[in-house]
Amino acid sequence: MSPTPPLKKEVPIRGPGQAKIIKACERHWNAHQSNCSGFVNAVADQLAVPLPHMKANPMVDHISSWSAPMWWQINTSKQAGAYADEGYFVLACLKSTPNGHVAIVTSGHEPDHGIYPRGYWGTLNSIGEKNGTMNYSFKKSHVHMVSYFRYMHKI
Amino acid sequence: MMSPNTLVFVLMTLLASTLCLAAEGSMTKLIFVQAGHNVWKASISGKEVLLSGKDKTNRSPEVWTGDLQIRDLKTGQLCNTNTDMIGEVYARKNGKILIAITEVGAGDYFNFFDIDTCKSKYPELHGYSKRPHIKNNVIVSGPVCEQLLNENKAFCSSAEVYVLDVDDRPVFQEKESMDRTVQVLGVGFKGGRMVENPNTKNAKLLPEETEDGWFTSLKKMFSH
Repeated sequence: MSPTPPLKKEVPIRGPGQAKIIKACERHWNAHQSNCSGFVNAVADQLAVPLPHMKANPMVDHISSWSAPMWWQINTSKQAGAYADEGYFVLACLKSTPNGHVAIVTSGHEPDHGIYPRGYWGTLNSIGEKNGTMNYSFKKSHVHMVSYFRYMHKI
Repeated sequence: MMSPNTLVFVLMTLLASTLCLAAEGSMTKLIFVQAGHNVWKASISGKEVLLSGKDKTNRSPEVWTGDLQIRDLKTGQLCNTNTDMIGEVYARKNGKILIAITEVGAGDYFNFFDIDTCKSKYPELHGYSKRPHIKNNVIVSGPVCEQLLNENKAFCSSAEVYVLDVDDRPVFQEKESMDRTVQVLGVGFKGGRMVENPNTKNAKLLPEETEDGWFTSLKKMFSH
């Protein structure tokens, strides 16, 4: 895909945590727009969220494992958006062969089709998206395989 | 003198033309025109292909959120492929397969549908390609690398080159895939590997056990 313009939709910011996350996403997106895991790592580093530098698949393994008790799974995409609104650092994750995909959920405001929250991501060999809804990050038939996690502390 | 890119293109074209001798023409990208409110259509060999849900966010290039439907112009029968985020659609004159490419953040997905029934004909291909996704019956995906932050190494996936055979089945091309991987990354391998300095002349393959990172390595160590 060739360059995608940022979406113009304004998202109301609910608190300082959410504002910090969005600001960090905006800051690192250009440099990592073609690398989903690198983008997530760069934003996590800036926000002091502990996340080892690794590619998407092992990153998902890590945050879903016993060795990362500070990462909590979220049941639904709607809840993921709500946690993002509250200022939590939320990831949307899909394991896949050979490369998985990770995206940062930043807002639950006006989710597309009522279920897809907004976020930022990088895309391998292409250009990711800023403030896009998650149906542009994961295809419909894979939505049931996407898992959401949040870092336990608010930003 | 021919550049490596041109050489690969020429070789792939020759290969494709050999494999597709019996097929009628090449897979062609369908051009859609607006046919009503939120409906776009293209026609090929007695079929009308209908797309709906054109993206409203002014993104470029455009995608359709779906549905993607196929109507038989003789019988009026309509079927739905149940696919979404469609960037490009390909079909061949008098062909039996329609290929829809879903473009999302997680990559590109090639879906092969029976043009009469909309049923999936071959397994979906997941890759990282560029538009036009199919050129002269050839699909080229990658290679791609996930660069580790602040490091000169990356987890890379090898290129995958497919040629569509006479039944429009994607046939993996081992040699061409390896050649393209070497040409782009500077090292040759199949599947996924950690690579130091990819895309440079100093590219080097790293031992396989490091490709999953320290956590998976640690888990493997304890699981033995």
